[in-house]
Amino acid sequence: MTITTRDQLIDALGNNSSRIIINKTSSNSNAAGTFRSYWRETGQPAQGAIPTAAATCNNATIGGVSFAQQTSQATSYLALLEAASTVSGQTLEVHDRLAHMGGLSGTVTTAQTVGLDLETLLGTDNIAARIGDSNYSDVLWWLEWYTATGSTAVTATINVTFNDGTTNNLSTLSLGASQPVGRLWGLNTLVQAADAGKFIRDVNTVTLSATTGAAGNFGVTATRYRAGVFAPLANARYTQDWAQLGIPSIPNGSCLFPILLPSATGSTGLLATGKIAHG
Amino acid sequence: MRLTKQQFIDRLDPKEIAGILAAAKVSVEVEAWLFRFNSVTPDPDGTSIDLRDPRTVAGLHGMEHAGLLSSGRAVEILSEGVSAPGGFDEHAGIKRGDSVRVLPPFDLSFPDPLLVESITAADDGAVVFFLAGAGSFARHFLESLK
Repeated sequence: MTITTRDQLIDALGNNSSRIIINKTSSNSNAAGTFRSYWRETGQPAQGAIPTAAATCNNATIGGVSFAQQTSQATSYLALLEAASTVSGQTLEVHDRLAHMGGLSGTVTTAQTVGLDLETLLGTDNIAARIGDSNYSDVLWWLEWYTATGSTAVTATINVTFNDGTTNNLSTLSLGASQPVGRLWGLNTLVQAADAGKFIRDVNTVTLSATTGAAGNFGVTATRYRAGVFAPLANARYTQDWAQLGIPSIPNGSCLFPILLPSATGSTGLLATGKIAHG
Repeated sequence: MRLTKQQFIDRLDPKEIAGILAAAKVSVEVEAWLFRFNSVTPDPDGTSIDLRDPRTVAGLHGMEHAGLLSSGRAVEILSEGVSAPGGFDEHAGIKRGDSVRVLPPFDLSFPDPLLVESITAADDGAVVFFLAGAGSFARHFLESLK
């Protein structure tokens, strides 16, 4: 059965839930207004590996928050999230890390193959349920940095395939000098006006306009946003209950991990707890 | 040879610029040269500074005589083949100041001709062309328009 009443939700919170624990500190300073992945930070959950070839992530992937998998028709829901940050004005987001790839180089100026096609991965790790809407409109796409690239600012062109099967380049992305570990650049906002109404299904290639000066390591990551909590003051705990969260479903196989949106620059420690209710 | 003001400034070392600005506060002659430099408006081709203009030549030699530039720097700055500090004047058939067209896949975002502001080496030694208002590009993404 699924949870359909408040009593069932309360019962699940108290008697049938999985804990979320996030305890990490960023290894370098976060810039205000830029998304930051904590995938590669040590702590809890454990440090995720740098991906190589395109692959899905699941609830057993190191780097994600594990939780009890349910047998249909039982479902899981994110019902409670609390967070505290060592820097004021931070927003903790919890994303389901659907799939990723890495190994792109900051010194290569030809089209680099990404080949991260969610359509071919729908039958793996419950991706079909985890992407949300079947038109891929719930999927967020990112360039993610695993090792810092060089000090020359460059422009990136990303070629994608949309949900209707057409392909095109996104608008170019200006990458400032010295992209740090953990930096995330959102790609969904780069869909050109000519492709309005389409949603990215697959990232095909990334082309840099020039060498950044250092190879580094970056890749492409697909996530689905599940919940967030804003911590306006440093070192104070803020809570989002089930009503504020909207009890987003957490399908089996979800690989939950933290992304930070800082409004103040600094190296940020995150401490978050929560509950995934089952029923 | 004509240059934009930015290209001319690129030929000076930051310490030389700082010395000129400091001297302008105490020397009317230096201040007058700076006044003329700031007042000059670009010609239709975008350039403002003629390296062969007697006023440019006299001004740089005067600064060298006053010790604001080290010995020989005036001739070096006025030379048409000199490199900006840390940069190149030309590479693979494209010179600083040339107009270029950006090639695919970046052409849609940068459809208009652009000026090459500087040519430098990245940390890995590869040569990078910096275009005004567009950023850095490798040679194979550029087509010379000369």
